[in-house]
Amino acid sequence: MARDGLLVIGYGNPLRGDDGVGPEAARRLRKNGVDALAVHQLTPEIAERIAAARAVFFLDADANLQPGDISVEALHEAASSVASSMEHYVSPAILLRLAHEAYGANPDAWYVAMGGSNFEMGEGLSGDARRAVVRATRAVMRRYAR
Amino acid sequence: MRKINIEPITRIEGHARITIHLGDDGNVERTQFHVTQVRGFEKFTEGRPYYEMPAITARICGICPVSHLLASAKACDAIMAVRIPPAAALLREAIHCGQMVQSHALSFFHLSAPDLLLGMDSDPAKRNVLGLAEKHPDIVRDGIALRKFGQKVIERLAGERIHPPGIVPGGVATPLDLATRDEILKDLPEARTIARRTLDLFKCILEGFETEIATFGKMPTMYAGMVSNAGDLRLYDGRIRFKNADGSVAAEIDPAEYASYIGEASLSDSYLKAPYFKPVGYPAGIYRVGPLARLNTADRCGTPDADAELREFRQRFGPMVDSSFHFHYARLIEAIYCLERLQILLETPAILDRHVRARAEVNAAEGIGVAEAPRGILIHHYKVDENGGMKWANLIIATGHNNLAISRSIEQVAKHFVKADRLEEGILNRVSAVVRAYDPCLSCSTHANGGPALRIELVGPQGEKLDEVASGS
Repeated sequence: MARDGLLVIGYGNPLRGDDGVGPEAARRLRKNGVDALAVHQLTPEIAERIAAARAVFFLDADANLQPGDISVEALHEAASSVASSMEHYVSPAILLRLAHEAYGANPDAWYVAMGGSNFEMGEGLSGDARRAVVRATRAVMRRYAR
Repeated sequence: MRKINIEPITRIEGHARITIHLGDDGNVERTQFHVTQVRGFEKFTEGRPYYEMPAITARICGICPVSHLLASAKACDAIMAVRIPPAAALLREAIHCGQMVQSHALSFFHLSAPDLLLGMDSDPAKRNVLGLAEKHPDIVRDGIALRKFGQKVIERLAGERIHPPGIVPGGVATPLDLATRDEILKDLPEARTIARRTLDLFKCILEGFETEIATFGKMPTMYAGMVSNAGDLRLYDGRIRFKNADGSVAAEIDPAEYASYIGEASLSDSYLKAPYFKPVGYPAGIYRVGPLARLNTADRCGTPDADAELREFRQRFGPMVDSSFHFHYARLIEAIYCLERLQILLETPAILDRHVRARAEVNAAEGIGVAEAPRGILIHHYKVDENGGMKWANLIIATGHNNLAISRSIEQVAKHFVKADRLEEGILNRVSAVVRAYDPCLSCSTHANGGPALRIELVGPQGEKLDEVASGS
């Protein structure tokens, strides 16, 4: 069961520079006592964790955002139609739908995107990405506190 | 002649395209299976220290990184010329069992169950795990629970669920503590119940797939799989046994001798090479690997429940089961075997020994490591300089061994189902489904980058493209 009903899922590839912002933000939130998963990619079994949560935040990198910026978007209606079938790529919407269909769960959910500036091969975050991580973790805590 | 392209093939790991060529009479003349990705791990690892190879090559795949870690670590063990501590061997095999379970669960529940439980001709928009969850939520929950158990085993014993750092040259990084062992043992009965229930369910639905059983790669080929000295199924370590289609043993070799028995042919239209049994030659030396091949090559599994299932399997389909549709059945028997075997390993007192790693410098210029990945035999072969720098690497991946068999299976399915005047989606889905039966990992087999899966292209008598199916990415 997610602690206090909050679950954070940070995902991305730490070997592709700023693509690792999601896992880094999740680790930071975990240090603050939040139930947080830091994973390379979304996988079907995460649906079970989602089903046990009251609120879920998906934290991911977005190369189209301004470096250092973040955006927070509510993911509405888990049971709404998901155009893409689950094949190679598992999206937050697909996981929410799976949590709904398999476990009857409908947690509130948000997608938090973080802008970076370096997505080349290699470990470590740029200064832009580190700023985005700070903003994203604050946004999660602020929204959760409401 | 006309041509059908299927690209990407969906619900597989990696990218591929199928081309179906039609003759003037509208019947299938021939098919081609193209793997359209390349990554080049063998080349770019040149110059790296050999002991980095497990961590580097594990990144080839997010589904079976443990197999790469094991084969690579074994090649490194050979370069160091060490025999790893007994506890390390037990732990490596236990981790491997966890990986087999999670990978087989992914293949069955998430990739193939939509075809098997919703139907090959069912609505393609719902023929996926979401559609499955809508209709059979209990089965999806079973799939999630079984995969989660396998991943938990990997995480607890090796540090991480994906790309775990716990498998290292010379053994494993951390000894097993009693609490962790007992925690896994506590969860084992539920996992075994799920595996048992799933196999029972699969046996119940088999009758609806008689045509697929008769056409999904039902053909005589050789088989290759790893066995113990006593002939039992082995996944972590053993000898490689090659069997002929009639069940006679063609060769049983030390894995270090692989190069004398396995040749690799390069194909002009695919990045995936085509291994073959050298003594027979190319392409007659076609052989299959993976769950079905392992059950065909082993005398027995060596655990009670799996052996009972293997006996029933052979009673139903013969001593050498030759339809690739039965990879699904074999995969589920193996899941039962892995859970039984895991229990045996965890209950072996020596697994708790604290000495789990042998340390040494470079003592040999060459090392070969072989393990059975979920999809079949995985070979890592390295050559190093006196300082341990990588000079050369050869990786032969399970899906590569099956390349020729997958190609022939596609042709068999296409010739049976595809006609120019009926190109229904369900028909083309069967062409993809036969590929999925092998549970190929094309990212592994070409050590390639991720992305969409498979495309089918239909080509007419004059080479013109008539149709193309690209069902998702």
